[in-house]
Amino acid sequence: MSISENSISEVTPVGPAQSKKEILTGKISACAVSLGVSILKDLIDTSKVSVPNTEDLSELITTAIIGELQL
Amino acid sequence: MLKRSTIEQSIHIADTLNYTNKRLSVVPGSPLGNIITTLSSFNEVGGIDELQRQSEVAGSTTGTHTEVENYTAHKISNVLANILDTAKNVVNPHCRAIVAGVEEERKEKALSSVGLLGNIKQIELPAVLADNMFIELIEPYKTTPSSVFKNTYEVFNNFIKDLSTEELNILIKTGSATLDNKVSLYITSPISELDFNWYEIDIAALPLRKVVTIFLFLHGIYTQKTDKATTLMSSATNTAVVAKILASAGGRIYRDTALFDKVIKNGDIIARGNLISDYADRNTLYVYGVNYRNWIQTKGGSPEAALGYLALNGNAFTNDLNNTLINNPERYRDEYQSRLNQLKTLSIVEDINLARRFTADYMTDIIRRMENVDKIALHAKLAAALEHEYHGSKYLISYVIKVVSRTLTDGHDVKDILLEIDNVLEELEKPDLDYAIYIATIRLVARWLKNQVVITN
Repeated sequence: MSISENSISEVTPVGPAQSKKEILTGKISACAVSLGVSILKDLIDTSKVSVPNTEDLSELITTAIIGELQL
Repeated sequence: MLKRSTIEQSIHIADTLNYTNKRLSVVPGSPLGNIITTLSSFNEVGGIDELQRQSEVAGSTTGTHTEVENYTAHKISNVLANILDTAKNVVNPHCRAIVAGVEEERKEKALSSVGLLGNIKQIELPAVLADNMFIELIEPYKTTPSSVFKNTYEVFNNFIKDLSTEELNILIKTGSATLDNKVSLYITSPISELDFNWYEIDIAALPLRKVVTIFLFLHGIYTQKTDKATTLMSSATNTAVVAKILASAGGRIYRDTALFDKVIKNGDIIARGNLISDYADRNTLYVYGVNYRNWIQTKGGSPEAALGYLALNGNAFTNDLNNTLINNPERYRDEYQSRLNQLKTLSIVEDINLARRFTADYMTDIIRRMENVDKIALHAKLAAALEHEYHGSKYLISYVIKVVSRTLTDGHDVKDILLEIDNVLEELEKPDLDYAIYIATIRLVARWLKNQVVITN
């Protein structure tokens, strides 16, 4: 499996309500940050990546996602 | 279970999107999409507490949010671990070797453009030449001139052709363990020292080490240390030839030893050609080690001044030049500095050609030495990879990463992580590879997550 594999051709319709879209955005953001943190913790626990200090992983991954989304 | 701190952090993403009136949707079937389905029952505005609670409820057939997330995280971290291993252990060593090689060649080209490419070799009086027993061996010939001997091949042809290493060792042994030890330190390969044109022996022109080998070899024959030597010496003609060359070699060694002693006492630095033990290399300045080190320690000399001398005069010796270097090292150091300041910067075209050629040669050699691979396919990948755009020395590292990664790996992940590490290193004030790997990994994970969402209005 390649980490860069992805297709963005199919997107789930999320319903008409604005509030639903906001809720979904919140859920996606929370799950993305949480998954990112879990992946990094797994890498750190198996010593594949060394942690140079006690920086907050949630904050780092959130900043990196915002950067990647070019917001 | 989603952590409160994680949810709080993620609100920054949602807030930033809200600010521009944008929303996120997820790519169905993607790992993140599968995790979202575990929270499908959560579609009310219930705040962080409700979202946390929902993440522990099995919202899909695959399990709770925590179970699906842990499974996905472990799977992706394994993929990332492989990417990091390949980047670190397969691709990066080649990238480093190529960049170092290109930079070395670039430096050599620049130095040679102003005549500063050269070495300094310190020569010392070999211990064997200061040995009293050896001096006794050569002393009888001290007045015999260095001569040229022609047609000597006929005398030595068959003898040398059939000579075993064991016989050669018997011939050059002197009978004194101390002296033989000194000989072995000076002449590490007697057989290669005797490998020269025996049709004509010019005693004055040969390097001193060869002359010492010839002397010991002929001394062994003359004193008939082996049966074959006795047979050779049974001919009066052969005996005469051996005796003449032996005497001439002994004379040359004696005079050179005396000269060495004299120049060291004089304080000379630049070596005279005949005292150099090997064939002289024109890009090397041969200096007398003892005096050279003393000149640096007590008289203001320096390797830079010596290289300035080499750039200006070559390695030729004259008394005047030698004295100028000893007494006025500043002049030659200035010459060195002046040339260093004129170093030619390679043109962009020269630089691009150099980097492309070096990378191509290096990778071609790597593929040639690989086993159990489809070499034709790898050469084709290399040819395509070399076509990556390269705009000059500032971009050398990224060009090399792209070529090596594309040739030796599939996909873009290894290339991406190495380019990202390089970017982070560029951003850091103080280079810290571990930190760069850490940040680059975070960015790669963030990019992977980004590829699973779509921004909509």
